[in-house]
Amino acid sequence: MVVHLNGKRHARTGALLSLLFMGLGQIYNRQFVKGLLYALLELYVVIFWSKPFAEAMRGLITLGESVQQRNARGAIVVQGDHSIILMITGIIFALLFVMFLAVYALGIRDAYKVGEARDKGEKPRGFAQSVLHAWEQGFAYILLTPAFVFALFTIMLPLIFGILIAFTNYSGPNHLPPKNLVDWVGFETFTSLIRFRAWSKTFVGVLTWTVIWAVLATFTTYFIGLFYALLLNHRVVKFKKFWRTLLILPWAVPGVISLLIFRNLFNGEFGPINQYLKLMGLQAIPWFSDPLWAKVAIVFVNIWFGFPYWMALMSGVLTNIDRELYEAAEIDGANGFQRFRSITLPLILFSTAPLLIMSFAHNFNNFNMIYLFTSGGPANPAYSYAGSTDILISWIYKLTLEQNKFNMASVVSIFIFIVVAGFSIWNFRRTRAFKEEDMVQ
Amino acid sequence: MNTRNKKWMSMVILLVLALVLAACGGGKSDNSGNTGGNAGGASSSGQNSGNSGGNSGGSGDAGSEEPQIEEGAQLLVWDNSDAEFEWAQYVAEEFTKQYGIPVTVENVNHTDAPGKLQTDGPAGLGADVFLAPHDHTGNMASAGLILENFYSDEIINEHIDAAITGGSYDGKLYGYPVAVETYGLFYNKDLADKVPETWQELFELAKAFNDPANQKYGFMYEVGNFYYDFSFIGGYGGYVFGAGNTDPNDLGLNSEAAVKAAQFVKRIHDEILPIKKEDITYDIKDSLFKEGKLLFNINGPWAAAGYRDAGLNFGVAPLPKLDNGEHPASFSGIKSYYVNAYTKYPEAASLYAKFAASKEMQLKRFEITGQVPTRKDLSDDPTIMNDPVVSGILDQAQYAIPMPNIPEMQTVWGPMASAFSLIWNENIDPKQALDDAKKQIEDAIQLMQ
Repeated sequence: MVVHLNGKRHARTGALLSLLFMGLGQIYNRQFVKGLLYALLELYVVIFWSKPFAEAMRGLITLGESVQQRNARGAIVVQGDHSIILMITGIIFALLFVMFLAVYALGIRDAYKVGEARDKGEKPRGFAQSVLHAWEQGFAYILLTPAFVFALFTIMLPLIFGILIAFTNYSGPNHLPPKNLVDWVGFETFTSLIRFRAWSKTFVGVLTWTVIWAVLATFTTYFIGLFYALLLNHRVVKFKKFWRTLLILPWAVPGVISLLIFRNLFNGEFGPINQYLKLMGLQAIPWFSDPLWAKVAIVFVNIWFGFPYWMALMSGVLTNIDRELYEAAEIDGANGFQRFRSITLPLILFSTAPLLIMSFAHNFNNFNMIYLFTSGGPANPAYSYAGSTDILISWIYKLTLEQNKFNMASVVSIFIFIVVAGFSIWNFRRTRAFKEEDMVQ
Repeated sequence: MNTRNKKWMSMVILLVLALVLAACGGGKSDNSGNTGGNAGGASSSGQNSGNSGGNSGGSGDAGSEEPQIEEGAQLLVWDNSDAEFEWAQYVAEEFTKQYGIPVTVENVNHTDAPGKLQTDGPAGLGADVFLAPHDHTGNMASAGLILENFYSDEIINEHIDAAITGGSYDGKLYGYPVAVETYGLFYNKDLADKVPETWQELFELAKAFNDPANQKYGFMYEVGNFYYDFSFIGGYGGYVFGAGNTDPNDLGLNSEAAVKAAQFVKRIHDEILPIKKEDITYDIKDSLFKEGKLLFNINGPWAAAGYRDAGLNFGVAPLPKLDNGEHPASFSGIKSYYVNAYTKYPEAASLYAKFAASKEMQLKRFEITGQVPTRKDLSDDPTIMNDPVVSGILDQAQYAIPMPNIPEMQTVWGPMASAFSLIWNENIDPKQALDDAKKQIEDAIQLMQ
């Protein structure tokens, strides 16, 4: 055997051979067991899976060709293609194909590296050695593989599926599988959202309120939670545990039930709140029938639901702040407000800011609050299928579940995703808590 | 190209995972063999096509002959809870006694059943026979979820027209009706001196009773719920869809009749019920009626049990006549059994549905649940006529129109509810509000195509 000390002959040849057929490079590098296993894998995939793969891709592209056939009385004679299952199968095969390509690429890389080692005059490893080497060097990757594969199929698959739906005509009543086939329609659903003036007008209006709502809901609960946490932690407050338990209760009661009770409390004609207002000689407030007041009521009730969480969280943070900081500040002559502004607030913001962003995303999609409290009402003449207090998610619900417009829902959720993801990323990047700096400058 | 089921796909994933991770493969070729045999529905549908080939024109012939019941058939039935569930179990027992086919009854509410069937039906998990409100007939039929009625001639002869119209779509009958319901005028017998014949009378009685300071009201109905709002449109001769509620291209929702109805609704608000729409909820209306603070209340027979339990002395009358001398045309809902298109036993399932719609079973349903039968031969049955609630509802049912059951109806509820809410709450021009609603519905229907 001639050993080539210079150049990268073995590396190039090995990689090229592996590119040609999996395992060839390894065999060329005299790693026969490994090469054979690679070759067997490709053979296996090519022989057993090329046809299913081609069919799956065809299914993904055509979304089914044979229509379900029924006899005169409506019973099914030929099952026909189920477009949605074909679509999911196609996505799964595409993901598997990507995984296969990754393994393929690894094989080429391996052949190249071993060839490179041979070029330098090293002897290639035996199979047992290779396994041991892979186990030692790639331990982290081996451990991560199951999690990665799991994520691929539980997170990526539904996401891709949900996004692809937006480009089909998957909607009731005429395009519901398995009786009917679903077709790709490109950006038609997107354009129809814009084309119908009433719809786009609804979209902009609902979106505006959704953003205002998410910001208001997040900040009101945050600061009222902070207020209560400070109050509870003040040294003059007695029976701290009792108060804390009492104030956390709204958080513990199932929201669905409380919301129904609130619905009755706020009733403009018969609700106790307005009854008291009248008793005090004030005007009754049209809580549910006036758009502005309905929004006020929603934010108000949301405070009741949301502040205990922040209060509990911040109480924890407060008790963890080093007392010495306050003592030092006191010696320096800082007054109460200054101590709060320069010590308490930054420390609390530091540890709760990430959660603030999560809370924003949660409120952006806070379906329960809207749907159970006002059902989107009062009616808005300018909107189509939405009321004045509907947020995007409750509008989607009315559009889709009541009418089976899955494609339209997908378009709107893509938009929600972009907004929430964009906002979250922007915020995460701006939050100091995520930078590995010393917390107090 | 054949459909591959999910189970098989997950096996594929597992297999490839095993390969990637451990670089070794197990037995795989027997896997692809499974797919062919797994298409379980194929065998039963083949059998079915055989015995239905000839009777496409008149399926009535099949009814007179003894149907070929599938061997080893067993049925799953979905029905409502409580009293209706009790009745469904009774039917199941009687059916098993007579035909020797085991039947299981599960509780799935009839309003949820169509939605559940959309996923469960094709997956082979749905009930063979299920109860559903008739207004989903069009949706279910166009999505291919239900089988045609195998005994249509028989059913058409035996049941009231509304029940047949309600269960038909595109000229074909699907449903096996078991009960009909509509709403009427519930009144508190202890407070009402007389039952109003016309709205004019009702206005006067209500005005005399109204005392908002003490939360006493003469009349209430759930405004902005198009189910109730429609009765006025219908009473003035209006309609939702043309051609007997089958033509989605002809919307009658901003017609002269509809505008008149909207003006009339506005009059109710101005004269006897000056409360915002959002504040008249079903719960509040119900509790006021139970407390004796509400004289007249538009509601349906489903509320009767609650009022009886509250010890209320109440009666039910048809809705009073409008100023054109017509009774308001309330929407009626027909509860029907439907046969799942994906059932393995279409003949047995259809036989069961027919059995549930029979005279004895409907009478039993009335006895257990107090619901109004749809059979003509039960309409003058003395036990039914003597029931005060049912007879009142039956009187109104003469003027009732079954809710449209074409899929496009789903687009009507939201915009019409908004329109009536706006007309009620705001000083908005009724014609304008209805025009807007019609435009929205047209847009939505266009998007459905």
